[in-house]
Amino acid sequence: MDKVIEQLRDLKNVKPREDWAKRNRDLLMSQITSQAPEKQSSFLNSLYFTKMFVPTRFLNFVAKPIGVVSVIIVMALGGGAMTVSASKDSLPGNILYPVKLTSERVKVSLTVSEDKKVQLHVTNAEERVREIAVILESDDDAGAKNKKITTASDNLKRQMEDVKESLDVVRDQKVDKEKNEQSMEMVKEVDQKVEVLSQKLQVTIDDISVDNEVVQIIDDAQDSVDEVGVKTVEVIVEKFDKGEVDLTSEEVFSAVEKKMNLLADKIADVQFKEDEIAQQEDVDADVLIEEEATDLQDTTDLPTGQAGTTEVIVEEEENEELGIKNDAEEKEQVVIDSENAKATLEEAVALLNSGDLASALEKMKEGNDMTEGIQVVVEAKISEREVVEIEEEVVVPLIEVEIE
Amino acid sequence: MKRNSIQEKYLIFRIKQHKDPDAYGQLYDHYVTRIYRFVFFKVSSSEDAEDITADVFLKTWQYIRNTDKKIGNLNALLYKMSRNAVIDYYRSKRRTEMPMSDQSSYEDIMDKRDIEAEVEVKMEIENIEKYLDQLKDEYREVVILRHVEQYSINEIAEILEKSVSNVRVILHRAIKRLKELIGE
Repeated sequence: MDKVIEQLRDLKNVKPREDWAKRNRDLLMSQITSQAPEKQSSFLNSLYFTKMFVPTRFLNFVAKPIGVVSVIIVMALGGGAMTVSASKDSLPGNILYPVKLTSERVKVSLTVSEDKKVQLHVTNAEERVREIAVILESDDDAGAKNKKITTASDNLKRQMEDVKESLDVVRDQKVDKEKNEQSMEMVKEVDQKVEVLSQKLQVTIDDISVDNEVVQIIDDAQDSVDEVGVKTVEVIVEKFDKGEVDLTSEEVFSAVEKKMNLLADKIADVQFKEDEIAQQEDVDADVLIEEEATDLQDTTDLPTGQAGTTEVIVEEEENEELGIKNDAEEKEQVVIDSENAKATLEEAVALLNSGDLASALEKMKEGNDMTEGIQVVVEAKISEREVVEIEEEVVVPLIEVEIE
Repeated sequence: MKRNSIQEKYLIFRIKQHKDPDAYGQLYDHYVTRIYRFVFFKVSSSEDAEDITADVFLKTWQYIRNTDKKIGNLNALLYKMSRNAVIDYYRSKRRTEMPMSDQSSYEDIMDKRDIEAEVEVKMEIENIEKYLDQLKDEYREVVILRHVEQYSINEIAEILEKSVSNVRVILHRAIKRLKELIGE
Protein backbone atom coordinates (compact mmCIF):
# COMPACT_ATOMS: atom_id res chain seq x y z
CA MET A 1 0.00 0.00 0.00
CA ASP A 2 1.19 3.56 -0.64
CA LYS A 3 3.34 4.68 2.28
CA VAL A 4 1.60 8.05 2.68
CA ILE A 5 -1.88 6.54 2.53
CA GLU A 6 -0.79 3.89 5.01
CA GLN A 7 0.50 6.55 7.40
CA LEU A 8 -2.71 8.52 6.99
CA ARG A 9 -4.73 5.43 7.87
CA ASP A 10 -2.63 5.07 11.02
CA LEU A 11 -4.01 8.42 12.11
CA LYS A 12 -7.15 6.48 13.01
CA ASN A 13 -5.22 5.72 16.19
CA VAL A 14 -5.74 9.33 17.22
CA LYS A 15 -8.58 9.04 19.69
CA PRO A 16 -9.90 11.14 22.54
CA ARG A 17 -8.87 10.08 26.02
CA GLU A 18 -11.28 7.43 27.21
CA ASP A 19 -11.83 9.09 30.58
CA TRP A 20 -12.57 12.43 28.88
CA ALA A 21 -15.05 10.82 26.45
CA LYS A 22 -16.85 9.22 29.37
CA ARG A 23 -16.79 12.34 31.58
CA ASN A 24 -17.99 14.49 28.72
CA ARG A 25 -20.79 12.05 27.99
CA ASP A 26 -21.97 12.27 31.60
CA LEU A 27 -21.77 16.06 31.51
CA LEU A 28 -23.64 16.22 28.22
CA MET A 29 -26.34 13.90 29.55
CA SER A 30 -26.82 16.05 32.64
CA GLN A 31 -26.96 19.23 30.54
CA ILE A 32 -29.54 17.87 28.14
CA THR A 33 -31.59 16.09 30.77
CA SER A 34 -32.02 19.36 32.64
CA GLN A 35 -33.78 20.76 29.60
CA ALA A 36 -37.28 19.59 30.48
CA PRO A 37 -39.15 17.70 27.76
CA GLU A 38 -42.15 19.37 26.29
CA LYS A 39 -45.36 17.47 25.87
CA GLN A 40 -46.18 16.66 22.29
CA SER A 41 -49.50 15.53 20.99
CA SER A 42 -49.60 12.05 19.51
CA PHE A 43 -50.77 13.56 16.23
CA LEU A 44 -47.61 15.71 16.04
CA ASN A 45 -45.56 12.69 17.01
CA SER A 46 -46.84 10.65 14.11
CA LEU A 47 -46.44 13.60 11.78
CA TYR A 48 -42.78 14.01 12.76
CA PHE A 49 -42.28 10.26 12.59
CA THR A 50 -43.57 10.20 9.02
CA LYS A 51 -41.50 13.27 8.11
CA MET A 52 -38.36 11.66 9.46
CA PHE A 53 -38.68 8.41 7.57
CA VAL A 54 -40.37 9.40 4.34
CA PRO A 55 -38.78 11.69 1.69
CA THR A 56 -40.12 15.25 1.55
CA ARG A 57 -41.16 14.99 -2.09
CA PHE A 58 -43.14 11.88 -1.28
CA LEU A 59 -44.83 13.72 1.57
CA ASN A 60 -45.79 16.56 -0.76
CA PHE A 61 -47.31 14.09 -3.06
CA VAL A 62 -49.24 12.38 -0.30
CA ALA A 63 -50.60 15.77 0.70
CA LYS A 64 -52.39 15.91 -2.58
CA PRO A 65 -55.87 14.46 -2.01
CA ILE A 66 -55.80 12.35 -5.12
CA GLY A 67 -52.77 10.37 -3.98
CA VAL A 68 -53.57 9.90 -0.31
CA VAL A 69 -55.75 6.81 -0.36
CA SER A 70 -53.87 4.78 -2.93
CA VAL A 71 -50.39 5.46 -1.57
CA ILE A 72 -51.32 4.68 2.03
CA ILE A 73 -52.91 1.43 0.98
CA VAL A 74 -49.89 0.51 -1.11
CA MET A 75 -47.52 1.30 1.73
CA ALA A 76 -49.68 -0.56 4.25
CA LEU A 77 -49.87 -3.65 2.12
CA GLY A 78 -46.17 -3.59 1.35
CA GLY A 79 -46.30 -3.19 -2.40
CA GLY A 80 -47.85 -4.94 -5.36
CA ALA A 81 -50.86 -2.68 -5.62
CA MET A 82 -51.85 -0.69 -8.64
CA THR A 83 -50.06 2.58 -7.90
CA VAL A 84 -46.70 0.93 -7.48
CA SER A 85 -46.99 -1.01 -10.70
CA ALA A 86 -48.23 2.13 -12.45
CA SER A 87 -45.19 3.99 -11.14
CA LYS A 88 -42.82 1.35 -12.54
CA ASP A 89 -42.06 3.20 -15.76
CA SER A 90 -42.20 6.68 -14.26
CA LEU A 91 -39.29 9.06 -14.70
CA PRO A 92 -37.90 11.94 -12.61
CA GLY A 93 -40.35 14.83 -12.69
CA ASN A 94 -43.27 12.44 -13.01
CA ILE A 95 -45.86 12.51 -10.22
CA LEU A 96 -45.44 8.78 -9.54
CA TYR A 97 -41.65 8.81 -9.47
CA PRO A 98 -41.40 9.33 -5.68
CA VAL A 99 -43.75 6.35 -5.23
CA LYS A 100 -41.44 4.24 -7.34
CA LEU A 101 -38.38 5.24 -5.29
CA THR A 102 -40.21 4.69 -2.02
CA SER A 103 -41.44 1.26 -3.04
CA GLU A 104 -37.85 0.36 -3.97
CA ARG A 105 -36.64 1.52 -0.56
CA VAL A 106 -39.41 -0.37 1.22
CA LYS A 107 -38.43 -3.51 -0.66
CA VAL A 108 -34.80 -3.13 0.43
CA SER A 109 -35.65 -2.38 4.04
CA LEU A 110 -37.86 -5.48 4.19
CA THR A 111 -34.96 -7.63 3.01
CA VAL A 112 -32.92 -9.23 5.75
CA SER A 113 -30.10 -10.87 3.80
CA GLU A 114 -27.28 -8.46 2.98
CA ASP A 115 -26.55 -10.39 -0.24
CA LYS A 116 -30.13 -9.83 -1.40
CA LYS A 117 -29.91 -6.17 -0.42
CA VAL A 118 -26.86 -5.70 -2.64
CA GLN A 119 -28.69 -7.37 -5.53
CA LEU A 120 -31.74 -5.16 -5.02
CA HIS A 121 -29.60 -2.01 -4.97
CA VAL A 122 -27.94 -3.08 -8.21
CA THR A 123 -31.33 -3.78 -9.83
CA ASN A 124 -32.45 -0.30 -8.76
CA ALA A 125 -29.24 1.16 -10.19
CA GLU A 126 -29.97 -0.57 -13.51
CA GLU A 127 -33.34 1.14 -13.48
CA ARG A 128 -31.66 4.56 -12.92
CA VAL A 129 -29.40 3.96 -15.92
CA ARG A 130 -32.42 3.04 -18.02
CA GLU A 131 -34.12 6.24 -16.87
CA ILE A 132 -31.13 8.32 -17.96
CA ALA A 133 -31.21 6.75 -21.44
CA VAL A 134 -34.98 7.34 -21.79
CA ILE A 135 -34.69 10.97 -20.64
CA LEU A 136 -31.93 11.64 -23.16
CA GLU A 137 -34.08 10.31 -25.99
CA SER A 138 -37.12 12.33 -24.90
CA ASP A 139 -38.28 15.54 -26.57
CA ASP A 140 -37.84 17.65 -23.43
CA ASP A 141 -35.96 20.91 -23.70
CA ALA A 142 -32.32 21.01 -22.56
CA GLY A 143 -33.10 22.58 -19.15
CA ALA A 144 -35.71 19.98 -18.22
CA LYS A 145 -33.47 17.17 -19.44
CA ASN A 146 -30.57 18.40 -17.32
CA LYS A 147 -32.76 18.57 -14.25
CA LYS A 148 -34.17 15.08 -14.75
CA ILE A 149 -30.79 13.55 -15.53
CA THR A 150 -29.35 15.19 -12.42
CA THR A 151 -32.09 13.59 -10.31
CA ALA A 152 -31.61 10.14 -11.85
CA SER A 153 -27.80 10.42 -11.58
CA ASP A 154 -27.96 11.54 -7.94
CA ASN A 155 -30.19 8.59 -7.16
CA LEU A 156 -27.82 6.29 -9.02
CA LYS A 157 -24.90 7.60 -6.95
CA ARG A 158 -26.87 7.04 -3.74
CA GLN A 159 -27.65 3.51 -4.88
CA MET A 160 -23.94 2.91 -5.49
CA GLU A 161 -23.13 4.19 -1.98
CA ASP A 162 -25.68 1.72 -0.59
CA VAL A 163 -24.09 -1.11 -2.59
CA LYS A 164 -20.69 -0.19 -1.19
CA GLU A 165 -22.00 -0.13 2.38
CA SER A 166 -23.67 -3.50 1.93
CA LEU A 167 -20.51 -4.91 0.35
CA ASP A 168 -18.58 -3.75 3.44
CA VAL A 169 -21.01 -5.72 5.58
CA VAL A 170 -20.63 -8.77 3.35
CA ARG A 171 -16.84 -8.45 3.53
CA ASP A 172 -16.78 -8.24 7.33
CA GLN A 173 -19.47 -10.79 8.17
CA LYS A 174 -18.30 -13.94 9.92
CA VAL A 175 -20.26 -16.78 8.38
CA ASP A 176 -19.64 -20.39 7.45
CA LYS A 177 -17.80 -21.42 4.31
CA GLU A 178 -20.96 -22.26 2.37
CA LYS A 179 -22.47 -18.85 3.03
CA ASN A 180 -19.17 -17.22 2.09
CA GLU A 181 -19.17 -19.07 -1.22
CA GLN A 182 -22.71 -17.88 -1.93
CA SER A 183 -21.71 -14.30 -1.12
CA MET A 184 -18.73 -14.63 -3.43
CA GLU A 185 -21.01 -15.65 -6.29
CA MET A 186 -23.16 -12.63 -5.58
CA VAL A 187 -20.10 -10.32 -5.51
CA LYS A 188 -18.90 -11.67 -8.86
CA GLU A 189 -22.35 -11.18 -10.35
CA VAL A 190 -22.45 -7.60 -9.04
CA ASP A 191 -19.02 -6.99 -10.54
CA GLN A 192 -20.26 -8.07 -13.96
CA LYS A 193 -23.44 -6.05 -13.66
CA VAL A 194 -21.70 -2.82 -12.67
CA GLU A 195 -19.27 -3.30 -15.53
CA VAL A 196 -22.22 -3.46 -17.93
CA LEU A 197 -23.76 -0.40 -16.27
CA SER A 198 -20.51 1.53 -16.65
CA GLN A 199 -20.32 0.56 -20.33
CA LYS A 200 -23.92 1.65 -20.88
CA LEU A 201 -23.19 5.02 -19.28
CA GLN A 202 -20.07 5.37 -21.44
CA VAL A 203 -22.15 4.71 -24.58
CA THR A 204 -24.62 7.34 -23.38
CA ILE A 205 -21.79 9.85 -22.84
CA ASP A 206 -20.34 9.13 -26.28
CA ASP A 207 -23.77 9.67 -27.89
CA ILE A 208 -24.21 13.13 -26.38
CA SER A 209 -22.85 15.55 -28.91
CA VAL A 210 -22.98 19.00 -27.32
CA ASP A 211 -24.12 19.37 -23.75
CA ASN A 212 -20.99 19.08 -21.67
CA GLU A 213 -22.85 19.75 -18.43
CA VAL A 214 -24.86 16.56 -18.95
CA VAL A 215 -21.67 14.68 -19.81
CA GLN A 216 -20.16 15.85 -16.52
CA ILE A 217 -23.20 14.71 -14.52
CA ILE A 218 -23.26 11.27 -16.12
CA ASP A 219 -19.48 11.04 -15.86
CA ASP A 220 -19.73 11.53 -12.09
CA ALA A 221 -22.35 8.79 -11.88
CA GLN A 222 -20.14 6.51 -13.96
CA ASP A 223 -17.26 7.11 -11.54
CA SER A 224 -19.50 5.96 -8.67
CA VAL A 225 -20.37 2.82 -10.62
CA ASP A 226 -16.68 2.15 -11.32
CA GLU A 227 -15.89 2.60 -7.62
CA VAL A 228 -18.34 -0.22 -6.86
CA GLY A 229 -16.50 -2.34 -9.43
CA VAL A 230 -13.25 -1.77 -7.54
CA LYS A 231 -15.02 -2.48 -4.25
CA THR A 232 -16.19 -5.89 -5.46
CA VAL A 233 -12.60 -6.83 -6.29
CA GLU A 234 -11.51 -5.56 -2.87
CA VAL A 235 -14.02 -7.90 -1.23
CA ILE A 236 -12.82 -10.81 -3.39
CA VAL A 237 -9.15 -10.11 -2.53
CA GLU A 238 -9.81 -9.76 1.19
CA LYS A 239 -11.90 -12.92 1.42
CA PHE A 240 -9.22 -14.75 -0.58
CA ASP A 241 -6.40 -13.40 1.63
CA LYS A 242 -8.25 -14.55 4.75
CA GLY A 243 -8.79 -17.97 3.20
CA GLU A 244 -12.55 -17.67 3.62
CA VAL A 245 -13.35 -18.73 0.06
CA ASP A 246 -12.17 -21.39 -2.35
CA LEU A 247 -10.83 -19.34 -5.20
CA THR A 248 -7.71 -20.02 -7.23
CA SER A 249 -5.04 -17.33 -7.20
CA GLU A 250 -5.42 -17.10 -11.02
CA GLU A 251 -9.08 -16.18 -10.62
CA VAL A 252 -8.28 -13.43 -8.11
CA PHE A 253 -5.34 -12.18 -10.17
CA SER A 254 -7.42 -11.95 -13.30
CA ALA A 255 -10.16 -10.05 -11.41
CA VAL A 256 -7.62 -7.42 -10.30
CA GLU A 257 -5.97 -7.39 -13.71
CA LYS A 258 -9.30 -6.74 -15.39
CA LYS A 259 -9.80 -3.64 -13.26
CA MET A 260 -6.28 -2.50 -14.08
CA ASN A 261 -7.00 -2.85 -17.79
CA LEU A 262 -10.09 -0.71 -17.36
CA LEU A 263 -8.00 1.93 -15.64
CA ALA A 264 -5.42 1.75 -18.43
CA ASP A 265 -8.25 2.39 -20.94
CA LYS A 266 -9.42 5.33 -18.85
CA ILE A 267 -5.95 6.87 -18.80
CA ALA A 268 -5.55 6.31 -22.56
CA ASP A 269 -8.92 8.00 -23.12
CA VAL A 270 -7.90 11.03 -21.07
CA GLN A 271 -4.57 11.26 -22.88
CA PHE A 272 -6.36 11.04 -26.24
CA LYS A 273 -8.60 13.94 -25.23
CA GLU A 274 -5.55 15.91 -24.06
CA ASP A 275 -3.87 15.38 -27.43
CA GLU A 276 -7.02 16.46 -29.26
CA ILE A 277 -7.17 19.67 -27.24
CA ALA A 278 -3.47 20.29 -27.83
CA GLN A 279 -3.90 19.87 -31.60
CA GLN A 280 -6.86 22.24 -31.68
CA GLU A 281 -4.87 24.74 -29.67
CA ASP A 282 -2.00 24.54 -32.15
CA VAL A 283 -4.44 25.38 -34.95
CA ASP A 284 -5.79 28.28 -32.86
CA ALA A 285 -2.25 29.51 -32.25
CA ASP A 286 -1.55 29.60 -36.02
CA VAL A 287 -4.73 31.60 -36.60
CA LEU A 288 -3.73 33.95 -33.78
CA ILE A 289 -0.29 34.56 -35.29
CA GLU A 290 -1.89 35.42 -38.62
CA GLU A 291 -4.36 37.79 -36.91
CA GLU A 292 -1.55 39.44 -34.97
CA ALA A 293 0.39 40.03 -38.17
CA THR A 294 -2.67 41.72 -39.67
CA ASP A 295 -3.23 43.78 -36.48
CA LEU A 296 0.38 44.90 -36.52
CA GLN A 297 -0.02 46.06 -40.10
CA ASP A 298 -3.20 47.97 -39.11
CA THR A 299 -1.45 49.55 -36.11
CA THR A 300 1.48 50.83 -38.15
CA ASP A 301 -1.05 52.35 -40.59
CA LEU A 302 -2.69 54.39 -37.78
CA PRO A 303 -2.32 58.19 -37.88
CA THR A 304 -0.10 59.62 -35.09
CA GLY A 305 -3.05 61.08 -33.13
CA GLN A 306 -4.38 57.61 -32.22
CA ALA A 307 -1.72 56.61 -29.69
CA GLY A 308 -4.42 55.69 -27.13
CA THR A 309 -5.74 52.98 -29.43
CA THR A 310 -2.24 51.53 -29.75
CA GLU A 311 -1.93 51.35 -25.95
CA VAL A 312 -5.23 49.49 -25.71
CA ILE A 313 -4.06 46.99 -28.33
CA VAL A 314 -0.76 46.45 -26.50
CA GLU A 315 -2.63 45.92 -23.20
CA GLU A 316 -4.99 43.42 -24.86
CA GLU A 317 -2.00 41.58 -26.27
CA GLU A 318 -0.36 41.44 -22.84
CA ASN A 319 -3.54 40.03 -21.27
CA GLU A 320 -3.78 37.49 -24.05
CA GLU A 321 -0.17 36.46 -23.49
CA LEU A 322 -0.84 36.06 -19.76
CA GLY A 323 -3.87 33.88 -20.53
CA ILE A 324 -1.84 31.77 -22.93
CA LYS A 325 0.89 31.39 -20.29
CA ASN A 326 -1.66 30.22 -17.67
CA ASP A 327 -3.20 27.82 -20.19
CA ALA A 328 0.23 26.46 -21.03
CA GLU A 329 1.00 25.91 -17.36
CA GLU A 330 -2.30 24.13 -16.81
CA LYS A 331 -1.74 22.01 -19.92
CA GLU A 332 1.71 21.09 -18.70
CA GLN A 333 0.25 20.16 -15.29
CA VAL A 334 -2.38 17.91 -16.90
CA VAL A 335 0.32 16.15 -18.93
CA ILE A 336 2.43 15.64 -15.77
CA ASP A 337 -0.63 14.40 -13.86
CA SER A 338 -1.55 11.88 -16.52
CA GLU A 339 2.04 10.64 -16.68
CA ASN A 340 1.90 10.25 -12.88
CA ALA A 341 -1.34 8.29 -13.17
CA LYS A 342 0.29 6.05 -15.77
CA ALA A 343 3.32 5.54 -13.54
CA THR A 344 1.06 4.70 -10.59
CA LEU A 345 -0.75 2.11 -12.68
CA GLU A 346 2.60 0.62 -13.70
CA GLU A 347 3.54 0.38 -10.01
CA ALA A 348 0.21 -1.35 -9.37
CA VAL A 349 0.92 -3.86 -12.15
CA ALA A 350 4.41 -4.50 -10.70
CA LEU A 351 2.90 -5.11 -7.25
CA LEU A 352 0.34 -7.46 -8.76
CA ASN A 353 3.08 -9.39 -10.55
CA SER A 354 5.00 -9.66 -7.27
CA GLY A 355 1.89 -11.21 -5.70
CA ASP A 356 1.05 -8.33 -3.35
CA LEU A 357 -2.66 -8.17 -4.18
CA ALA A 358 -3.78 -5.78 -1.46
CA SER A 359 -1.06 -3.22 -2.24
CA ALA A 360 -1.69 -3.54 -5.97
CA LEU A 361 -5.33 -2.78 -5.39
CA GLU A 362 -4.54 0.25 -3.22
CA LYS A 363 -2.12 1.57 -5.83
CA MET A 364 -4.72 1.07 -8.50
CA LYS A 365 -7.30 3.02 -6.48
CA GLU A 366 -4.80 5.84 -6.15
CA GLY A 367 -4.26 5.83 -9.92
CA ASN A 368 -8.01 5.81 -10.41
CA ASP A 369 -8.49 8.86 -8.18
CA MET A 370 -5.73 10.67 -10.04
CA THR A 371 -7.27 9.86 -13.42
CA GLU A 372 -10.68 11.04 -12.29
CA GLY A 373 -9.10 14.32 -11.16
CA ILE A 374 -7.45 14.81 -14.57
CA GLN A 375 -10.68 13.88 -16.32
CA VAL A 376 -12.43 16.76 -14.57
CA VAL A 377 -9.81 19.26 -15.76
CA VAL A 378 -9.86 17.93 -19.33
CA GLU A 379 -13.68 17.93 -19.50
CA ALA A 380 -13.70 21.51 -18.19
CA LYS A 381 -11.24 22.46 -20.93
CA ILE A 382 -13.45 20.86 -23.61
CA SER A 383 -16.45 22.67 -22.17
CA GLU A 384 -14.59 26.02 -22.27
CA ARG A 385 -13.72 25.46 -25.92
CA GLU A 386 -17.33 24.65 -26.80
CA VAL A 387 -18.52 27.86 -25.15
CA VAL A 388 -15.92 29.90 -27.05
CA GLU A 389 -16.89 28.25 -30.34
CA ILE A 390 -20.58 28.95 -29.74
CA GLU A 391 -19.80 32.59 -28.85
CA GLU A 392 -17.74 32.97 -32.01
CA GLU A 393 -20.58 31.56 -34.11
CA VAL A 394 -22.88 34.16 -32.61
CA VAL A 395 -20.44 37.06 -33.09
CA VAL A 396 -19.54 36.44 -36.77
CA PRO A 397 -22.97 37.22 -38.31
CA LEU A 398 -23.17 40.44 -36.24
CA ILE A 399 -19.90 41.66 -37.72
CA GLU A 400 -21.13 40.80 -41.19
CA VAL A 401 -24.25 42.89 -40.61
CA GLU A 402 -22.15 45.86 -39.49
CA ILE A 403 -19.99 45.64 -42.62
CA GLU A 404 -23.07 45.61 -44.85
CA MET B 1 -24.85 1.53 13.62
CA LYS B 2 -24.65 2.43 9.94
CA ARG B 3 -24.53 6.07 8.93
CA ASN B 4 -27.92 7.39 7.98
CA SER B 5 -29.48 4.04 8.82
CA ILE B 6 -33.04 3.40 9.96
CA GLN B 7 -31.69 2.97 13.51
CA GLU B 8 -30.02 6.38 13.36
CA LYS B 9 -33.19 7.97 11.98
CA TYR B 10 -35.17 6.40 14.78
CA LEU B 11 -32.76 7.82 17.37
CA ILE B 12 -33.07 11.29 15.82
CA PHE B 13 -36.84 10.92 15.96
CA ARG B 14 -36.57 10.03 19.67
CA ILE B 15 -34.49 13.15 20.27
CA LYS B 16 -36.70 15.43 18.29
CA GLN B 17 -39.99 14.25 19.66
CA HIS B 18 -39.24 12.86 23.09
CA LYS B 19 -36.04 14.79 23.94
CA ASP B 20 -34.61 11.39 24.74
CA PRO B 21 -31.08 11.83 26.23
CA ASP B 22 -30.33 8.12 25.94
CA ALA B 23 -30.92 8.22 22.21
CA TYR B 24 -28.50 11.13 21.96
CA GLY B 25 -26.05 9.22 24.16
CA GLN B 26 -26.01 6.41 21.60
CA LEU B 27 -25.32 8.84 18.79
CA TYR B 28 -22.60 10.48 20.89
CA ASP B 29 -20.89 7.11 21.43
CA HIS B 30 -21.02 6.44 17.72
CA TYR B 31 -19.64 9.77 16.50
CA VAL B 32 -17.49 11.21 19.30
CA THR B 33 -14.17 9.69 18.18
CA ARG B 34 -14.34 10.77 14.57
CA ILE B 35 -15.59 14.27 15.41
CA TYR B 36 -12.84 14.67 18.00
CA ARG B 37 -10.28 13.49 15.44
CA PHE B 38 -11.59 15.86 12.77
CA VAL B 39 -11.39 18.80 15.18
CA PHE B 40 -8.02 17.73 16.55
CA PHE B 41 -6.41 17.87 13.10
CA LYS B 42 -7.76 21.37 12.68
CA VAL B 43 -6.61 22.78 16.02
CA SER B 44 -3.83 20.32 16.94
CA SER B 45 -4.32 20.67 20.64
CA SER B 46 -6.05 17.86 22.46
CA GLU B 47 -7.44 20.17 25.18
CA ASP B 48 -8.95 22.54 22.64
CA ALA B 49 -10.19 19.63 20.53
CA GLU B 50 -11.94 18.20 23.60
CA ASP B 51 -13.58 21.54 24.42
CA ILE B 52 -14.72 22.10 20.86
CA THR B 53 -16.01 18.53 20.50
CA ALA B 54 -18.03 18.88 23.71
CA ASP B 55 -19.45 22.14 22.39
CA VAL B 56 -20.31 20.57 19.02
CA PHE B 57 -22.37 17.81 20.64
CA LEU B 58 -24.23 20.23 22.88
CA LYS B 59 -25.00 22.61 20.01
CA THR B 60 -26.08 19.73 17.76
CA TRP B 61 -28.51 18.55 20.44
CA GLN B 62 -29.98 22.05 20.66
CA TYR B 63 -30.15 22.30 16.87
CA ILE B 64 -31.95 18.97 16.47
CA ARG B 65 -34.40 19.93 19.21
CA ASN B 66 -35.20 23.36 17.87
CA THR B 67 -35.07 23.07 14.11
CA ASP B 68 -38.13 22.45 12.00
CA LYS B 69 -35.96 21.10 9.21
CA LYS B 70 -35.65 17.40 8.56
CA ILE B 71 -32.31 15.96 9.66
CA GLY B 72 -31.45 13.97 6.56
CA ASN B 73 -27.81 13.28 7.32
CA LEU B 74 -26.64 13.54 10.93
CA ASN B 75 -23.07 12.70 9.96
CA ALA B 76 -22.85 15.70 7.60
CA LEU B 77 -24.59 17.89 10.18
CA LEU B 78 -22.03 17.02 12.87
CA TYR B 79 -19.12 17.80 10.54
CA LYS B 80 -20.70 21.10 9.55
CA MET B 81 -21.17 21.98 13.23
CA SER B 82 -17.53 21.04 13.86
CA ARG B 83 -16.25 23.21 11.04
CA ASN B 84 -18.26 26.17 12.31
CA ALA B 85 -17.07 25.57 15.87
CA VAL B 86 -13.44 25.56 14.73
CA ILE B 87 -13.99 28.82 12.83
CA ASP B 88 -15.51 30.35 15.98
CA TYR B 89 -12.58 29.05 17.99
CA TYR B 90 -10.01 30.73 15.74
CA ARG B 91 -12.11 33.86 15.56
CA SER B 92 -12.36 34.16 19.34
CA LYS B 93 -8.78 33.25 20.10
CA ARG B 94 -7.37 34.96 17.03
CA ARG B 95 -4.91 32.15 16.93
CA THR B 96 -3.52 31.20 13.57
CA GLU B 97 -0.61 29.06 14.63
CA MET B 98 -0.69 26.00 16.73
CA PRO B 99 1.96 25.17 19.25
CA MET B 100 3.26 22.19 17.33
CA SER B 101 6.77 23.56 17.10
CA ASP B 102 6.97 23.21 20.85
CA GLN B 103 8.15 19.64 20.96
CA SER B 104 7.60 19.18 24.69
CA SER B 105 3.99 20.32 24.62
CA TYR B 106 3.43 18.19 21.56
CA GLU B 107 4.75 15.13 23.33
CA ASP B 108 2.64 16.01 26.30
CA ILE B 109 -0.42 15.95 24.08
CA MET B 110 0.59 12.66 22.57
CA ASP B 111 1.11 11.19 26.04
CA LYS B 112 -2.35 12.26 27.08
CA ARG B 113 -3.77 10.26 24.23
CA ASP B 114 -2.72 7.06 25.96
CA ILE B 115 -0.74 5.66 23.08
CA GLU B 116 2.59 5.18 24.80
CA ALA B 117 2.34 1.51 24.12
CA GLU B 118 2.28 2.05 20.40
CA VAL B 119 5.62 3.73 20.02
CA GLU B 120 6.12 2.85 16.41
CA VAL B 121 2.69 4.01 15.38
CA LYS B 122 3.19 7.16 17.40
CA MET B 123 6.37 8.02 15.52
CA GLU B 124 4.60 7.63 12.20
CA ILE B 125 1.60 9.62 13.36
CA GLU B 126 3.87 12.37 14.61
CA ASN B 127 5.65 12.40 11.30
CA ILE B 128 2.63 12.57 9.00
CA GLU B 129 0.83 15.01 11.29
CA LYS B 130 3.60 17.53 10.90
CA TYR B 131 3.24 17.41 7.13
CA LEU B 132 -0.55 17.47 7.31
CA ASP B 133 -0.24 20.61 9.37
CA GLN B 134 1.57 22.30 6.50
CA LEU B 135 -1.30 21.64 4.10
CA LYS B 136 -3.99 24.23 3.39
CA ASP B 137 -7.04 23.70 5.56
CA GLU B 138 -9.12 22.85 2.48
CA TYR B 139 -6.64 20.13 1.47
CA ARG B 140 -6.21 18.80 5.01
CA GLU B 141 -9.90 18.22 5.67
CA VAL B 142 -10.42 16.36 2.40
CA VAL B 143 -7.39 14.14 3.06
CA ILE B 144 -8.58 13.38 6.60
CA LEU B 145 -12.12 12.59 5.51
CA ARG B 146 -11.00 10.39 2.63
CA HIS B 147 -7.96 8.54 3.96
CA VAL B 148 -8.42 8.59 7.73
CA GLU B 149 -12.19 8.39 8.05
CA GLN B 150 -12.46 6.61 4.68
CA TYR B 151 -15.56 8.37 3.48
CA SER B 152 -16.47 8.07 -0.17
CA ILE B 153 -16.02 11.07 -2.47
CA ASN B 154 -19.81 11.50 -2.58
CA GLU B 155 -20.06 11.58 1.20
CA ILE B 156 -17.23 14.11 1.44
CA ALA B 157 -18.93 16.26 -1.16
CA GLU B 158 -22.08 16.20 0.95
CA ILE B 159 -20.21 17.01 4.17
CA LEU B 160 -18.24 19.88 2.66
CA GLU B 161 -21.08 21.08 0.44
CA LYS B 162 -18.89 20.92 -2.65
CA SER B 163 -19.37 19.13 -5.97
CA VAL B 164 -18.02 15.61 -6.42
CA SER B 165 -15.64 16.80 -9.15
CA ASN B 166 -14.38 19.59 -6.94
CA VAL B 167 -13.64 17.20 -4.09
CA ARG B 168 -11.85 14.87 -6.47
CA VAL B 169 -9.60 17.64 -7.77
CA ILE B 170 -8.86 18.95 -4.26
CA LEU B 171 -8.01 15.45 -3.06
CA HIS B 172 -5.73 14.80 -6.01
CA ARG B 173 -3.88 18.08 -5.44
CA ALA B 174 -3.74 17.55 -1.67
CA ILE B 175 -2.11 14.13 -1.95
CA LYS B 176 0.32 15.46 -4.52
CA ARG B 177 1.24 18.37 -2.23
CA LEU B 178 1.58 16.05 0.76
CA LYS B 179 3.95 13.83 -1.17
CA GLU B 180 5.96 16.87 -2.24
CA LEU B 181 6.26 17.95 1.40
CA ILE B 182 7.35 14.50 2.46
CA GLY B 183 9.73 14.40 -0.49
CA GLU B 184 8.42 11.14 -1.84
